[in-house]
Amino acid sequence: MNIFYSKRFWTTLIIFVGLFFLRSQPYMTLPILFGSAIFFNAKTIYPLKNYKFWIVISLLVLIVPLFTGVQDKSILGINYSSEQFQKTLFMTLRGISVFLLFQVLTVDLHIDKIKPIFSKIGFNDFDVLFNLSNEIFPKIKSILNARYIDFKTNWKKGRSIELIFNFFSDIFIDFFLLSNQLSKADKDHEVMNPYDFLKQKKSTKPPNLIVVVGDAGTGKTPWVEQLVKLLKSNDEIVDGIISRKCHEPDDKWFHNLLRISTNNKRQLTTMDQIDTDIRIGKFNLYKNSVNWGNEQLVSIKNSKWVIVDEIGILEFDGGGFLKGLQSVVTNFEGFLVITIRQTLFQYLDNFINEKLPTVKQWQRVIINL
Amino acid sequence: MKRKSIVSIAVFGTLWGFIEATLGNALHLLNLPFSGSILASIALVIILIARIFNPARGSTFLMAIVAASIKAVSFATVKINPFIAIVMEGALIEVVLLILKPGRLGFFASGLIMALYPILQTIVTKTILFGSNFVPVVLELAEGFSSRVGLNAGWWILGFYLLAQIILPLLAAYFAWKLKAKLSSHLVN
Repeated sequence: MNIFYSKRFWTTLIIFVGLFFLRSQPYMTLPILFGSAIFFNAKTIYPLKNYKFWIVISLLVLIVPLFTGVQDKSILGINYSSEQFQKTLFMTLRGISVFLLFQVLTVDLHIDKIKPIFSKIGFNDFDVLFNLSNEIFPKIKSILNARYIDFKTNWKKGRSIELIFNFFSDIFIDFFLLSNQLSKADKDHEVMNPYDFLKQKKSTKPPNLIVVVGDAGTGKTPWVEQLVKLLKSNDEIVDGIISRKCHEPDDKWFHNLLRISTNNKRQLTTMDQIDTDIRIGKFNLYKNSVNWGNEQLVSIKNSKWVIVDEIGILEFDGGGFLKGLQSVVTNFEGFLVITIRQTLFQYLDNFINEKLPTVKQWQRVIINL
Repeated sequence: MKRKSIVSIAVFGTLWGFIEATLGNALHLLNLPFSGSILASIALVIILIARIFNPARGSTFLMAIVAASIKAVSFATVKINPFIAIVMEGALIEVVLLILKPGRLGFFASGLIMALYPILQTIVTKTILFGSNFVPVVLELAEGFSSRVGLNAGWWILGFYLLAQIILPLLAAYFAWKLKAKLSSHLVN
């Protein structure tokens, strides 16, 4: 998007320019800055409601004039320096204004908006690292939990510095093992990366079914996302839906459903209780989002590549994104990429025979992660 | 970069990010003093041990990017301040370890940098917020408080604050050095 059409840019500019007028016209400038920030997004001023924000400011305005400068005035019998009071008052106004500036710059700025910046500056491993890190996160939590419980039990038996030292060294040993296991697991079977896959694909004719198979956490979605990126960079038309796992601040997970061609998204799952009868493991699915996903798949036209991430029990039972998938494969002459859990792979043939008979004749490629 | 290095960066970067996001946010909510130093010290131990395990150039900086991203995601929206702080910590330690290698000197120089960085960061962020008068006002306050209360109380408080900021990361560097010796059999790849 052009920066000059960005409301964030203009509000930031107004506040930045306002900072220069703050000293000469403080009482006129500050309401303008506040107004601009609220007009941009009311959330920008929410942190100001928190009392902690005012601790440093109160210290600055109330304490400094009492202990510094010439004590030329008095209030309730307490002497203070009016010059220092003016100085710290201005510092406070400036502090609030600069805080607003940063709030405008960062409010509602999600990690998805930050990620492309890293790619633009040439840091291509960021996506791989970030996705890998998302998958490792639950393992780290369980290692730390297990070690803490162990430590607590031993601590009750007898306290010593050695015990603390052992606690930390055990944690690190666990992480060395985890790191080794994850790297070896990859060495044991060489996974075809999307780049090599595309090179090999050049000689084959559509329609094709490409099945990306792997357990939870093996990187099926990152693999597909990398493929989409490569296809887009080759000017191929690619569409479909991706189910992206996201982390909430309170250690909960959810999935966003993303339409590839438009970047529109809906929250697909939650670990909270909601009014739904669609559940997979600990995740509850929003019915509206499932319907939305199907609508997106039905609306796909003239795309050479279609991605449907991820096919599972719901589709096998006739629900989930089956309706959309059936629409995609009708008269399709391109490459259909689906992802599926390792444990469900054995039922794929039956599923295709029963629910997607047109796909039976298609050439099939299996990518094992 | 080798797959093994990437996995190691992801594992230890995530561990660092996990600590920042859980313990860091808890310390922030409790408004405890020296929370920056406590977190920097834990981060330093992770960084130094991870660097021995995976001595690839740039690995510390990449770990910081992973940790900073996790920390940023742990808030409802991206917060620039903690993101920049973690990336800066990673970048500074990366430079130290590139120059001095992760030996005894490298460990303690990293500790010193990690000790001084939060102080520098406070000065820079508060100067950006409150203007160039911030540091002189703090010094005036220390002097004014000393002359009113006596016993150089203002200077003692300021000195204690700075010492506490410095001592924790230095102790962390010492702890990491001892831990390294204990883990030596696991660190040989």
